[in-house]
Amino acid sequence: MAENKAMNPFDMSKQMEVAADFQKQLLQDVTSFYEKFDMKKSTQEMLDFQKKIVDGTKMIMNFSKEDIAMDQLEKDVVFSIGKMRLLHYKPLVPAAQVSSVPTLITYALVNRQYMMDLQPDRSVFKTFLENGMDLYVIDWGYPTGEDMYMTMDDYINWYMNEVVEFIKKEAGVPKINMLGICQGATFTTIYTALYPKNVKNIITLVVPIDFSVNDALLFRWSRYMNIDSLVDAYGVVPGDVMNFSYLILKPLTLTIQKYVSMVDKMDNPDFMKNFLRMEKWNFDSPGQAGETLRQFVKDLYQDNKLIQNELVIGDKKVNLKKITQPLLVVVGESDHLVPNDASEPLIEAVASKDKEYHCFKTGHIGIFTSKKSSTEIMPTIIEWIKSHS
Amino acid sequence: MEYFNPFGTFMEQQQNLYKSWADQFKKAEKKDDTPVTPLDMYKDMLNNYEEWFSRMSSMVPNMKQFTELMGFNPDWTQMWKMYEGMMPNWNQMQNMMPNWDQVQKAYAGITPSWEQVQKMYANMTPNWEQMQKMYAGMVPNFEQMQKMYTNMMPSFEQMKNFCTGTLPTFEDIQKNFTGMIPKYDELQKMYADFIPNFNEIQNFYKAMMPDFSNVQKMFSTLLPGADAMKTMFSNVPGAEIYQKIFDFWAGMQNPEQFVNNFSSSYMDFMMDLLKSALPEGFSNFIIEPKQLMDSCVSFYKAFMSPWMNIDESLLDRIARGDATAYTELFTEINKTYDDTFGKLFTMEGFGINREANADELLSVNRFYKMIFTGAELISILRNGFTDGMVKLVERYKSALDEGKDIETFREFYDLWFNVNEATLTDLFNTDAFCQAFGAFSDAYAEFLIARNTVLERFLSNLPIPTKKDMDSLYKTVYDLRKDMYFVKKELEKKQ
Repeated sequence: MAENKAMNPFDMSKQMEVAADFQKQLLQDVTSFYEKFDMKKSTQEMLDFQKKIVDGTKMIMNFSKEDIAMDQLEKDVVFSIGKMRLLHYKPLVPAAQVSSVPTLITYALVNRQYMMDLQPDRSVFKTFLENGMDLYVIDWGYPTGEDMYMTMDDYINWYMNEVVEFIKKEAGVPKINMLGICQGATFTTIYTALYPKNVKNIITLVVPIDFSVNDALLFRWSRYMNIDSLVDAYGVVPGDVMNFSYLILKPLTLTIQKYVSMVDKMDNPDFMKNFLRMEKWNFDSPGQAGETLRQFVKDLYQDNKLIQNELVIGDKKVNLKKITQPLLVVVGESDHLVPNDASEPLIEAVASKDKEYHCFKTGHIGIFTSKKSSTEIMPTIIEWIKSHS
Repeated sequence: MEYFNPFGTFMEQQQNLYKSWADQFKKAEKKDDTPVTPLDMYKDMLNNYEEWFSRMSSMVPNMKQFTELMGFNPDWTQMWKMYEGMMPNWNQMQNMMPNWDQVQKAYAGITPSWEQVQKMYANMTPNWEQMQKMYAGMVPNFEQMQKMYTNMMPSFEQMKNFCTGTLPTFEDIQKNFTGMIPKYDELQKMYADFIPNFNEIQNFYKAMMPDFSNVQKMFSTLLPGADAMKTMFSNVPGAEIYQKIFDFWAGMQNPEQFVNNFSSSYMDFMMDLLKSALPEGFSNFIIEPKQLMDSCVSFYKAFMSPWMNIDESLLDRIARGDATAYTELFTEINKTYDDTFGKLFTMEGFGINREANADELLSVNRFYKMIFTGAELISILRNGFTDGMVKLVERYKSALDEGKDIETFREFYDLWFNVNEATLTDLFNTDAFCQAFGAFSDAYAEFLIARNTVLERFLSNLPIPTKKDMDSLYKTVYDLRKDMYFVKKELEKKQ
């Protein structure tokens, strides 16, 4: 390219000269670039790619709703407040083999709990049930305008506490196991610190506790965000706004590469069914009750109060040292949403003597949906629960 | 191959026009092929005054028939009214008359001295003010006149037919004009002696008008309705081209100013000339891009002018292709906006609509802030993609150097994806991006709030609930639901 001389940006004739030089050089570069390619091989590659798209589309057109059905395990809605429902899953083993200590699973507010029952052959819930767990799961529902004033106090001190009290009463036990996932694990940790007498064991999967970490985009971005204006603007912050943030955490992987890779396996019906299920789950994102999101971002992401025992929920101060129960912390080594450094400090923060920390070579979602999940991760968790129940 | 020459076409048109004049008057033709100029025609007119006069008078229809013709015209009454409206000014004009004796003496002297001429104009001078008043009084009638002539146009065709069919005989004309000008011989003599040759005329007028700009100024003062006159004549087909040229060259009186005007308005002049000289369909190829360019320049001037004092070195860096300079520019624009227009949009309002006005201005302000912060964010992203492209080329080159040929498009795509994903992830982790992303999110949310406030104010007069109403209701429902839950639970305990 011609030497880029200093010039007045408004001098159009100079700009045109530079542009002409650039175009000339570009033409040479492009010609040279294409000469390096094996055009025959590339063309064949493109044709194969197109064929897979056409064949795959034909196949998808013939999928029935049942083919990609999710959340198929039998369950009852046994309790509800507002839009929150408590699901009690039907056991898959004889009653005598069902654990006497119920386990309550609390999922994050931002996605749906059925991620753990996406596909029949790889369902975490099913694995739990087959191993005799008495499984209760909170379904937070889809908040609407009337829920915009819901606070963390409401979710934890009201909803969660009522749920736990209900389970205790129904199961006839003084304590239950609590298993939390992602934000749900943070809620579970807070709840345990506030109501330790109700919790027998605590299991956290990919839990954010220490928000001071610097190696995760979500944590960094949140510090620069004015959550007040966002909540004031929306009331209930739309799920798509949250989803957009998650997508650009891996901008090309989650918007382009995922679909390019999909085409490679588009002729595989099982793969495509699972892909479509995951796609539906990914974008099935409830809105966020504004006041809860406001406090979560301010007190946790921005002020990191939880790990410093300075968080106040309602009129109750959260002191992690109140947690003395056996604790299992599970993380994914390549988790891009919740880095290990955000979870690991929980081990030191609690007063529990019986505590374990497991890091698996997978990502945030891979903990639940990867092959490793069914072969290593869930067996580890089940074994730990069994040994502590 | 013959190329299109707009100047050639223009000159050809001009010569054709002169020739048509010559043909029409049947006398100004030359024996050689040199172009006929207005000077030729003027000389010819002087030398053959009688014949010219007769020819011109032959174009004037018989007054009786003309009057009858005009009688058919519905605008005749309007014309009469116009002249009636002008009448009061005749008295003013008459006040000038005492000097006509002197004028007559000057002309009767056949060869007037400079002293006489000077005296004549000096005596006329006190009356300029009256004349000015007179013309000023006439001005309002120009509009009527313009309207009248426009409406009369259909009658011209009738007039043409009439003239063709009923051209008066030479005797009639002679009779008419002989009656009008009884001392024709004397008049002829006067002009012949008064203007013995053309050089003297030139000298005479040069001496009279030593400073053309003063004359121009004088006439512009005298004729406040000159613009109306110009407008009237500009409606004459073809007149525009001469008017433009005259306007352009009129500046020659001040050479320095002329050069400046020439350089600044040359393009306008050329465009106007081309617009007149080229066929309509073809001229659009030239005119429309020029108009587009004008709009573009106007837009940028309007957009950039508040920030034109931005450091020139920054603009220079942009021109050099410095990727970070764009980001700095938008940061600077954002900051400068806050210090200038931003204050205007966020200032306190007043009056009964104070709050509504302030809200509307605020929504505009927030829209700008959203655009500016968005531009800043995009410029940072652009830097990321530029950086990714540079790295991609480097990786591609090193792969080739190592003998690892990238043979297919898919292989290249994989390289592109890996390089760019890593580059963007690094970029997203920078403080600059985090800050810009946070600022844009905030600006976007603030804009939504301000926009909703304005929209809800508009909707508040309609019988529908707004978000503000609903939020209030939601709060009541939320409080009641919570209270009821615990009251109910308390009651159940006591039962």
